[in-house]
Amino acid sequence: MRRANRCGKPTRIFNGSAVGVVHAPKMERRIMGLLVWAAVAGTLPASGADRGEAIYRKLCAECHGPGGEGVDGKADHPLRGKLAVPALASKIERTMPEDNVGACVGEDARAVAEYIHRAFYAPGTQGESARPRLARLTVPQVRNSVADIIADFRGGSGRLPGPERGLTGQYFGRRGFNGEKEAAGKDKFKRVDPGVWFDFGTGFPSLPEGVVFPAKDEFSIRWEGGILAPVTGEYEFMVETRNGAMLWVNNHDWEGGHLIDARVAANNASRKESGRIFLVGGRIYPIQLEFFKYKEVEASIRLSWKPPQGVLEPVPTRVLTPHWTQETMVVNTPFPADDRSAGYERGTAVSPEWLEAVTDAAMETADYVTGHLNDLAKVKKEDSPGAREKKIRDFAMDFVERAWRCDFPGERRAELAEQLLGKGGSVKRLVCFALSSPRFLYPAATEPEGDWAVASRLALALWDSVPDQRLRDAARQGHLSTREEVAKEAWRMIHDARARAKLNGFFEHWLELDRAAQVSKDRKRFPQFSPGVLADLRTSLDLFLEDVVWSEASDYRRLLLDDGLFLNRRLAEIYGAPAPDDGFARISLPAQGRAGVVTHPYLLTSFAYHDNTSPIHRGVFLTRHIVGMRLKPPPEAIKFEDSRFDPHLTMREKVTELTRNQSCMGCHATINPLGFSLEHFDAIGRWRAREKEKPIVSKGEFIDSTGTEVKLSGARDLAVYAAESPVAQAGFVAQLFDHVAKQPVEAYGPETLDRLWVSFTRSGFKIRDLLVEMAVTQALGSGLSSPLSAQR
Amino acid sequence: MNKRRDFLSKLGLSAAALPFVAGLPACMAASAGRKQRIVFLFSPNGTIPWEFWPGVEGTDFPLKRILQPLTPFKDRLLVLQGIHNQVGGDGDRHMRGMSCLLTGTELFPGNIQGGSDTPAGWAKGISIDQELKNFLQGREETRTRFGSLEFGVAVPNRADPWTRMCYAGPNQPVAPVDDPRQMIRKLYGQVKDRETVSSVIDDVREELGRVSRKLGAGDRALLDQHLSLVRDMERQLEQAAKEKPGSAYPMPEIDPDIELVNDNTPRISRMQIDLLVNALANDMARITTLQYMRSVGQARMSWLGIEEGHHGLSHEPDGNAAAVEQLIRINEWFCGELAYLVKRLAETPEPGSDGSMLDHTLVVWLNELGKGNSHTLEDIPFVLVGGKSHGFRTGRSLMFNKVAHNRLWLTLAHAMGHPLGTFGTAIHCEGGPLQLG
Repeated sequence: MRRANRCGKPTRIFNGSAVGVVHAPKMERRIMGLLVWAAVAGTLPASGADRGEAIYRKLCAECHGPGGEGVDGKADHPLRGKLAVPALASKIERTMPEDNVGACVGEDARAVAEYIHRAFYAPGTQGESARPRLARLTVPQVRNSVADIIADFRGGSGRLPGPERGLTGQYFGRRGFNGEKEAAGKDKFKRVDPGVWFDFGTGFPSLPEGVVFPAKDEFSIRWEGGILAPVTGEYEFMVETRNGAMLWVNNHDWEGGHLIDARVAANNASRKESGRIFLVGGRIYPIQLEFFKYKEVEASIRLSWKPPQGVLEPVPTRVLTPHWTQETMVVNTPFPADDRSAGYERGTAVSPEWLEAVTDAAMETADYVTGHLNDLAKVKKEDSPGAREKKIRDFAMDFVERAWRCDFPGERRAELAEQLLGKGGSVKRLVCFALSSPRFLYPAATEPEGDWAVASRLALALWDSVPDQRLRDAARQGHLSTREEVAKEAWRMIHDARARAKLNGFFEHWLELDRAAQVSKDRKRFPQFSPGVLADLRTSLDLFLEDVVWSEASDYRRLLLDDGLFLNRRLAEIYGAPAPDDGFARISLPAQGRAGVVTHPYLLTSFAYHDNTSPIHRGVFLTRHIVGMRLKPPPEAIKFEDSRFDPHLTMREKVTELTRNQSCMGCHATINPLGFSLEHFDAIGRWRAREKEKPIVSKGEFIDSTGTEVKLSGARDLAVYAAESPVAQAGFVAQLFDHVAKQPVEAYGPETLDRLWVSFTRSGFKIRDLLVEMAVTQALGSGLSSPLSAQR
Repeated sequence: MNKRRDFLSKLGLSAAALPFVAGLPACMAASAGRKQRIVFLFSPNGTIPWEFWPGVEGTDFPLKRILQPLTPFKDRLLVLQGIHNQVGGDGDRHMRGMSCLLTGTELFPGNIQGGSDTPAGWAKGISIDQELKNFLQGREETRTRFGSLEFGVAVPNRADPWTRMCYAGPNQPVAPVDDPRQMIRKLYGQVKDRETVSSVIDDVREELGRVSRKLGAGDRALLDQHLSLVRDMERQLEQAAKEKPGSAYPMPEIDPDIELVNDNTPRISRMQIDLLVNALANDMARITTLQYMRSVGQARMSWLGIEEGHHGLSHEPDGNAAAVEQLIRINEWFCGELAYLVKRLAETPEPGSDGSMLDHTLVVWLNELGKGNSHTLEDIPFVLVGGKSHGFRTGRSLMFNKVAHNRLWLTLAHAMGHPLGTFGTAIHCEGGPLQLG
């Protein structure tokens, strides 16, 4: 392997699972054995192999196909999975064949399990899948890359905000945003405000000692700083004032780049002016609000926003920072959604709509660049036409290098410049070409192997973006050749707003957060529930996730086991907790048996019906995402119709009734007990002791993917199981990896998951460390198995 | 509903007989058969009266320095002296000069303070261009894609009573588009972008092929699919280039890299005029405005060797010969841009009809002040050019006796077949339309 030499070690670092096992502590070794069964089983002469195959052909192949690939209309999904042989046998025994359960039990089931496990079921048995597939950039990757390519010409992006929150307010005693210089600033002052929601009545803002505003009916204020857009989407900003105001968001063009121009007021009447702007999530954008009162009686100003899927509310303090920040180029072009059928966004398909969007985005960027050419190319007024032309040419070639994640040797650069900017060429055309080119869109297809490819993969893994200046320097100087060097860069890059955004994207998928967009609740049963409450719950969840991941411990287990909730006053009242003083605070609720994300009301609310809980939705989510098991789609779609049941039944009783059929129980034997374990939490996630006057029954048991029976008495038992079970941990690792690499973990070799899991356990389940480990794995992993890399 | 058609049908006349109906008022006949357009062209900060006004009435009048660029079109001119903006109320004269110019009505009391007088807000009513647009858009035979287009040149992107002359209604200023690239996107959507795309598509196709050859078969499938989509797109672009709907006249070339900076104003001005004529030729609108800078605009006309800002210069007293000379040249430049517009209209044959586009287009030159240093709203330098189809008798200098400018807008409305009783503040409409026919 070529990579071995680059890592400076004589052999592959993780040459199959054996290496991992040797170094693993005793307990881990046992688990490892389980996880790597596939590799071992494949090498053993399995007894009864022929018999297994014969039974499979006779009883299974009709629906699953001779190679387990599935048969349309019978078993749509290929027989692939991660169950170990005993669990697989147990599952076959309990559920197969669907029309004749009981026909394949005991030794027969075991033989079939051994056969299919070895032949095609287990990871790594499918030769062609054990490598990354060619993928295009995903939509977020396109947006982030373009933003960062341009940001690099302005000093980069991704800096995390300091601890201070709010906006810097400069107050002036005159309407024109200036104070008297002679008076040593007696008619002006500066302070940090938590937000902008002021009613000054007929008076002034409260003046600090020594400050005097000279005129009784005029003053002005300028607020400035940064605003964090938590998610990607369209934001509506609203200024409500009786006076004059102007708002700029993500635009440093004070002359014309405002979002809202509400300077002209008539009759001192209060009015609302709003503007919309599309922002990419996880970034901080410059914001400035100017306000003035002049010869008017009253003064008031309020700045609100409506984030995507949020509600109109005063811009909260937690998203504001009082410090200056650079503007970001945001691609506004709407894109068709990426494929998410595998549970994470990936760039595995192209379509005419996608090509159109890519082309429009390239054009939009080209327009932005030409509109900001002097700024980006650092052209100065005094530059001669020749000097200007040279700067623009240099800028243009730098742009291409950044977009293509490479650098051109001097001659090649000059040649390309001539080709792209020579006769008939324009910067606009060049930008359009650079971003339409496969060199931009397919990083894996075009990278020449080497430090630049490592840099490219590392930036995609941690930021979904292009390498920044420091990473480019490292690549240019050949400082990405060893694992240590790459890890060092990864650790630097993780302390960046883009790494946080990337992880937030994972939570979005892992916790299916987009479900909440469609949530509404029965007004009679839940009169206190509103879109505002839902928005607060989302904030509560975001604060919790951030607190867990970016604290020193960064402990995966706390994600599942924390017994507290972040609550503000409104939520505290609903969820039976003492009210915090101000804003959101973490409040411990041990009596309710809360358990991290498992019982977070935002999730409990979105995995529920509008008037009742839904143990099935909850159970499916828990099975797939929290305990790391796979489910196939239901053999027939059965709608839950509440009216069909005896109204005295509890939800648990109804679901049990609905799924009692053998063909359902194949999956519902797992789904139901997991879902039932959360029955103490109603459809908006409040703790409850009873349903319909009957005490809640949250007990149950299921057989996990190792074949072990797990008994649960409620949500916390489930959370403890997920926190401690290697299978669940490995499930988390695999899902995170999918999101980081946009490739299934199996593509990096059958041993990769084990290795990552081992390092996860050794780090004390630090999510941050795991992320770094994954990024390094992806960066150093071989690229595509192309004819070229095969030659090396 | 179409009242005129109802009226004719009551008389037993079909629409086909229209051109042969005799004895109808000129304005009605004109509006029925022929295409009529109006272009309002604004330049700021007043003029230098003695180098502007001919000083005599009638058909035999001299063109002073500022109007010299219009010499080739002297017989198409109406120079209208003695028309005053009589709208009073809140706001300084620049503000009222600008925001009451096309609206003919007062400003709301507000919080925007000018150089003198009381602070004010937006105008209280619709502007004549928007009024006429609504009128034309309300009738099927005169409806166009946009109805009106608002062009700008070097207009600062700030919304206040000095930068807005067009109003869709009370408190509803309409912003001009001063970026030719934005305007071409508005007019031609992605057609222009498509041209850039067409020009890079070859290169993209080649790159895809080159990259694809290096890949294994499994991975190549995705790129090959991409390649075939690019080929489809190329075919569609070729097809679209052949068809170009609604473009009797090809769109003008716009430098995609042009920057909106002061020194590029002359180039931007010509681009905007070319686009304007093009949009009219392709019948995308019948009403257009072209606003240079803004009231109190501080354009530095370095291309004339003038480094001082326009508004600053306009405050200089009449005795400052150097300043006056520069102001004359500034206004001459504006007139030159007007003349270029007129020339473009004159040399473009009217699509689907006889004569030139100028025959069917009335160009109205506006200013928010009569004179810069006195800030007078009297003797606003109004010049009309073209407009044969509007029924005006051109090639004349006219001197009115202190008439309110609202009456000029009434005249235009009547000429367009929209016989308004009043426009703007009613008291300023006394006397009705002016006799220009």
